[in-house]
Amino acid sequence: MTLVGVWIAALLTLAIGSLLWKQNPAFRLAEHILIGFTAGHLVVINYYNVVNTGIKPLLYDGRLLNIVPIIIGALFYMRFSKRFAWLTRIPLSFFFGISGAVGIIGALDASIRQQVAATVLPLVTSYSSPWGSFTFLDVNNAIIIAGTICTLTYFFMTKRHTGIIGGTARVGRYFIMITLGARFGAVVMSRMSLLYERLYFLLHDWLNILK
Amino acid sequence: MFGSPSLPLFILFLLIVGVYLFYIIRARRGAQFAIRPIAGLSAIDEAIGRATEMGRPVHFTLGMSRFYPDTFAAFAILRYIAEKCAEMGASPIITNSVVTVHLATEEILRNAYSRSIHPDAFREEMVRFIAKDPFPYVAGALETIESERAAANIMVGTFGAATLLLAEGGRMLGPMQIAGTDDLQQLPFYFVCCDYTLIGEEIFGAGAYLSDDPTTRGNLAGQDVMRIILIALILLFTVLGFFGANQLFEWFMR
Repeated sequence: MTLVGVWIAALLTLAIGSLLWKQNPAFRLAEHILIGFTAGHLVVINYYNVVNTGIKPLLYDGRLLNIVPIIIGALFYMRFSKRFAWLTRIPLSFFFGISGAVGIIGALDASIRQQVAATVLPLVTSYSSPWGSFTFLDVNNAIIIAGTICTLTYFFMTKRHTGIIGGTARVGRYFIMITLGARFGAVVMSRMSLLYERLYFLLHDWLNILK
Repeated sequence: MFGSPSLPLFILFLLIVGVYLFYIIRARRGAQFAIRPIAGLSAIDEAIGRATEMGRPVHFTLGMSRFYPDTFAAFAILRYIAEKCAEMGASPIITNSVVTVHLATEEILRNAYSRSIHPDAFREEMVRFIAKDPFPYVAGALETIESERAAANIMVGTFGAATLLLAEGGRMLGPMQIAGTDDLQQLPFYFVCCDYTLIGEEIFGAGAYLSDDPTTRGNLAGQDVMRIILIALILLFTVLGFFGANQLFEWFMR
């Protein structure tokens, strides 16, 4: 990164960080630069994407099928015409249908079958030692199985959470809360590494305090 | 027959379709399925009512969601919010980061207003495209919440790494916040920053909870039966595994 680049990155980092004090013009400037740059970047990337992967292969390589996505994409622009705005619904329906179908197949395997597979675990575990072989109840696996079943029970929507269902749903809620707490801690730790990276950039690349 | 690699998946698919169809048909024939209270969904009325009283808009976002399952659930919530806002005279503002979803939300809002008693109240500025990438999107969405002085911020969908920024930024700005997602990574942040959180599959119950449509209510009853079937499968495979009979489980995983 050039010296000018380092200075721009450092000042923008400080401007964004200034939100810790309060909303201020420096933060707003950095915020708007980020949004503006992204919008410009999006236009350029999409332009070259359409030209290089859609139009050029159609015109120069004879890939006639490319005409289908080009027409579907072009129909989105019909929303700028009051008379033909209804044509926008055609590509939208296409997206709805395709996404639904693909989503179902993905969910069947990933969300149902693999989830069952990850939960079906051995309840007992064997341990061999010089004094003989021992068999124990695998507490970890038992907790995973019980936790999954109780959590599934929590999500019963058309069954009242009373009696046995109520009890298991309450345990399920505790499992959910413990899981979310653990997740929160893990993500906070990962965010700390991002903070260290920014501090290192400021102290090493910009101020040259750290060697 | 049992050697076919996709057969268990196909049978599972048929089972799901069969269960759902059975309960949808039952619901359409008049069977009633009571839905347990879901605080996050009940709070939507409170949020819109509050926004109406204060004369401020309701901000709604689907975040980075493309056409994922949670996006379809968010559409059901958006439809309800749009109908309520049109009825009560509140102004919804939807910010988007995915072009196709942006167009879909505009259609949903337009349709809801066209069916309401105030069809002329719909304005295209109600639906805004901000940016494609998460961090610029969040910056723009927070700017919108602040400049429009939104009284409520409702977030349903996938926000990825920007979840905490939006939820925490929204909390600092002060609107009532309701959020929901099926993404386990995001949920802890919502619990910390939002007034109400829809946990995981609760968002898929939104369509049935917020409307009297028998199809969606039957669908929800079907989901519950599928959960019972999954619990039964887990218990069955675990017990069979305990006795060393894993053949059925191995076939299921083919």
